[in-house]
Amino acid sequence: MTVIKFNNVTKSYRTHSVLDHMDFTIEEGVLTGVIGRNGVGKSTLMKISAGYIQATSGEVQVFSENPFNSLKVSANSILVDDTMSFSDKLSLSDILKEANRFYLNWDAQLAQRLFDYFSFHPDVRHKHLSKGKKSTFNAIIGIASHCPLTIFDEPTTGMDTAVRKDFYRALLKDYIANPRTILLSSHHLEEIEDLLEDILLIHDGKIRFHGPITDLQEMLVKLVGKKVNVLAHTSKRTIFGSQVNGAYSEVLVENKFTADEKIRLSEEGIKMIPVSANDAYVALTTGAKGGIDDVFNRTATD
Amino acid sequence: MYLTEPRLTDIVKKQFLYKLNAYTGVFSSLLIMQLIGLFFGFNTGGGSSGSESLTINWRSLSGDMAVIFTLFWAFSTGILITTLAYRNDAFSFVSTRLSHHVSSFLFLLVMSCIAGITAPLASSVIKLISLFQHNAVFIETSGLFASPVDFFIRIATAVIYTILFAGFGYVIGSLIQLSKLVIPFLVIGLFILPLFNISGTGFIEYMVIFFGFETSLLIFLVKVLITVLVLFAISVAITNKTEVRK
Repeated sequence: MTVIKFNNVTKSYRTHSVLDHMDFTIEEGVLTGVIGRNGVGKSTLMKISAGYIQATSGEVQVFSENPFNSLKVSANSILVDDTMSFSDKLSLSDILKEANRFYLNWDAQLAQRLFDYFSFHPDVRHKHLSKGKKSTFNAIIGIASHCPLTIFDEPTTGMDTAVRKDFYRALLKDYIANPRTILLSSHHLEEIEDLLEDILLIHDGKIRFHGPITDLQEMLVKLVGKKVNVLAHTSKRTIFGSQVNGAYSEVLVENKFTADEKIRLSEEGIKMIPVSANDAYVALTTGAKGGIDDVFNRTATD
Repeated sequence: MYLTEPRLTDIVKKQFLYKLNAYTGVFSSLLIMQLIGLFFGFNTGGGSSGSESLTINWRSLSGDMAVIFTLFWAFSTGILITTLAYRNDAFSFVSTRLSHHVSSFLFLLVMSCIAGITAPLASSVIKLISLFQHNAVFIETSGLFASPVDFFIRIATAVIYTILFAGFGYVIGSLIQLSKLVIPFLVIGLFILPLFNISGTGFIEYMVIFFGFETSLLIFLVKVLITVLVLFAISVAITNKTEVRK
């Protein structure tokens, strides 16, 4: 079953557009990582899916319904992010009780165990929590609600390393025990890549890649060899990144070499090195502006 | 994971209970407002007159101030619960814009009933305290035992007026949420234009005549009911596209 379907979806604000004619579908029971650089529209995509904001044009369907003003979508989905707010009249334990009332699949025991494990005080108010604690508390609600569509938007903001690890592990364990559709966004792909099945890579308001994480890893390859030799092989290909170390150069290109070409590469002493998902992500999302080095190089010549 | 098929009434009920728990600040502000009203009610007028042999000192007490402050509270509470913070709180759990409105409205209705019942009772508190001060009360509004019908009419009127003011607050709050530009337009339209005696601009004056001069409780009730329903429909219609938690 398809859980989320975006058909030609655009979201624009007065001055600029965030999502640009986006098409994709998320199938049921898949843990998908929504990956992209700052400000590319990850949160916008998630808020449209949860029905908080409305697409400017195009068609959005969640559980076969337009999520905006859909009670079914609201009852079966949860979006955990830093805009989650709770009345300061409610203590943390009150909030858990309210969540229990609203979400039919709520796992009260799990919520309480996580609550105790992360040593929350039941009488504290949500707004008095530190940034990391707030994120942790929101994440507990996200996990324990067991919503058929669970969306985490940068859930680890402010969490320390130990808590971040614990959270990802808790999420994975709970996902295995209670399979459901999960969207998880992060800037740090290397942190979550072991967790993810699929990746939805967004760049400039468009889908740059959508598929299994292993496909992303195999999409690019790094050629390392003498500068002249490498240049001969890469001149007609799209280069996603390059680095020169003395006489040697490293070039990232698409992994589309025929068997003959591979033999020639190894004859010329060029190594083909697999690329990690994170390196592929960075390479695919680096704009036409070059790297940060270019900023400084230009200033020097001007 | 199976999908739940929620019913609107079910979610509205849950949200209503949630709001009773989460909006307790509204209760305390009502209490404070009525206490201020009581305080002002103790001395609404007074003086002394007399000749050489006889001096009369008099002081008037009024429970009206408590009612007036309650109406002010109702209006501001109506505005308050349409604000961004309250809306985001609601959308942290299951909610649609419609269910949020309906539950907020039920909440206002219940709060208005409580406020409307307690406001006239404030006058009893004033009388009681006055008696403890050994002051003779000469003219008084009849109480529950002296004239039960009057007593209940007074309470009903206070409740209905409170609902009306909360409804006006709610629609104005919703308009402000739509655009902050509404505020200057409202001020100009409601308060400044009538000063120049332009015909058709005396909205407040018209409202006072429409509601205030009504002598039949039943017709008054119907008028308020229809007005509040219209105000509610306007609030729902203008905010149905509002984006939340952005």
